[in-house]
Order: sequence, then structure tokens, then C-alpha cells
Amino acid sequence: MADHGAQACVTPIDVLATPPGGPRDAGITIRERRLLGKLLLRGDPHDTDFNDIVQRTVGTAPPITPNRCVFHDALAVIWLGPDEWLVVTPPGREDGLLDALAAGGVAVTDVSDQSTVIRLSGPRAREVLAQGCALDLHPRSFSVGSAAQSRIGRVRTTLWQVDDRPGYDLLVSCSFAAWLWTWLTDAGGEFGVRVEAG
Amino acid sequence: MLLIDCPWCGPRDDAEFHYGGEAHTLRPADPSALSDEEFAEYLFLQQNPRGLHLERWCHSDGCRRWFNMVRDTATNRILEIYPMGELPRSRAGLAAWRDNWRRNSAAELNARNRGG
Ligand SMILES: [Zn+2]
Repeated sequence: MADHGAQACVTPIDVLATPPGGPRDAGITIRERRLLGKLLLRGDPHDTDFNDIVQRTVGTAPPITPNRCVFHDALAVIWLGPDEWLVVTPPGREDGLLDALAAGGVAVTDVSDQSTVIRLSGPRAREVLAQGCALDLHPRSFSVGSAAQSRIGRVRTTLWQVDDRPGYDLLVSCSFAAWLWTWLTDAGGEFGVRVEAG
Repeated sequence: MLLIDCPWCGPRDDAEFHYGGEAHTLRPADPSALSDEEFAEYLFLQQNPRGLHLERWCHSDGCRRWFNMVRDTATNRILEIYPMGELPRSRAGLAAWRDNWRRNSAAELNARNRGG
């Protein structure tokens, strides 16, 4: 369970103390989506009970197509495997959702504090990612709603495209988050980098 | 670099995968019935062919699922990818399975006879 109390939570990106700012016409914009909730779901997508409970609590059935995610009411449900999904929630919403899913008998685990999410967007975001990722990110094969677990800058990352700016969310374990952030700002340096507060 | 076609995620860079050794190595059901030589053969000897090799892979940086592969060790050409617990479907892959010395090894006969 993430602690969102009044006391300041320090994330692995906070530790870098990167000051916000940068050119308005920067090629990439980067910010941490701080303290998001993350729930790991396991279940059989062809089991109607499982599907119904996820539909009722999350608001959408888990996607059965590999390399896809669905967005619903500020939640993202990401395909991780044939019986495994990640639900990413706004800060604080994971507790209620976890209780509702568990009450329905779903195998659900709160993994919120294991990782953080970096939002990378801007006209050069795709080119910056392509410098360190072997996925084909061309819009014909990777677009809004596409998701993948792969490597960026040699670090295991789950990424999904959120909009056509283009914008990507990069989920990375806390211990590698500062590395990935630094790698991205370095790789994006030639295009101009704008840092936004999380 | 190999481009490996994960049965779930599709073609991905080999850096995302882990090699899991030779496939279809049945553990003897009753190891104590084997001589030390027979057990050592099961444990330590590999087919190590120049040519078609049946091997296990895991998409460790992706969906984390295991699968089997028929790969030519001389050319790195991937002939076939097939599920865990099954045999190759290609004629050449099936022949490589059949011709493997393990099929007649004491360990595998022990596993089969004891319903392993
Ligand atoms: Zn995979």
C-alpha cells in the first residue's frame, strides 16, 4: 500500500532534484507521474466470473490481445501475459480497487511501490525511445493503446502509448528509474528537453 | 542478433530472452534405480549438435512465458517455435527429437516406464 499521507513521499526521481523548465519548443517533455497505484491481476480471461468482476470493479474487461492496453476512467489496464494484467490507477485509488477485486475473488497484488512511471512526450519522443529500444515504434505497428514489455536503455521497461503527440508512459522499477530518467534526458538532449514537475 | 518470435508478444530482440538449455530432458522418476554413470549421463551430457537443436527459451523481459524452439546451431536459423510440453511439428524438428541419444537413455526409459 502506498503511503500518500501529508508527509512528503520521496520518489527515485525526486532524488535527482532535476529543476523543472526547458524550452517551450523542446523536442521532448519529461515528467514523473508520481505515486500512481499499480495492481497486478491474475486470472483466466475466458472465465466469465473473472471477466465480470474485473468489468464491474475496474470498469472494463481485461484486454486479451497481447501488446495492448485499455484506458477507462483515468485507469490503464495493460496486458502483461495471457493470464496477467497491470492496472495503473491515479494516486490513492489502488486501495479501494484492490479491496473490491479481492472481495470478488480475483488474485490481485498491490505492486504500487515497486515501480514508478515516467511520462515522455513531444514531437521527438518516438525518436528518443528508438535510440535505446528495439521495438518497432512506427505508428503502423505501435500507436495509442499499444503496450509492450521490453528494454529501454538496457533497462526492463513496460511502456504504453497514451496519445498522438506522441506520449508514452514508461513503467520502470524504482531501482532503475533514475538511470532511465537520466538516459532519456541525455538521449533527448539534441532535440531539447523540457522537464515538468511531477 | 536473433529476432525471436515470442508465441505471445511476436518478434522481439533476443536481448529480451533467456536461454533455458536443451528441451525434452525427462527427469528419471526413480533416480535411485539408476547407476551413477547413468545419472551423470542424464545430468551432465548434452546433445550439443552442429545442426538442429531443440531448446527452451523464456521471454524474460517480456511476458515471462516459456516456449520451445528448433534452432540450427550452425546458421542460427529458427525453424520452429512450439509450446512447452509438446513435440516439434516440423518433420526435421521431430526427427531431431527422435534421433537424440536421450530417447534410449536409462534416465528417459526410467521416466517413461514409471509414468514420469
Ligand atoms: Zn512474450
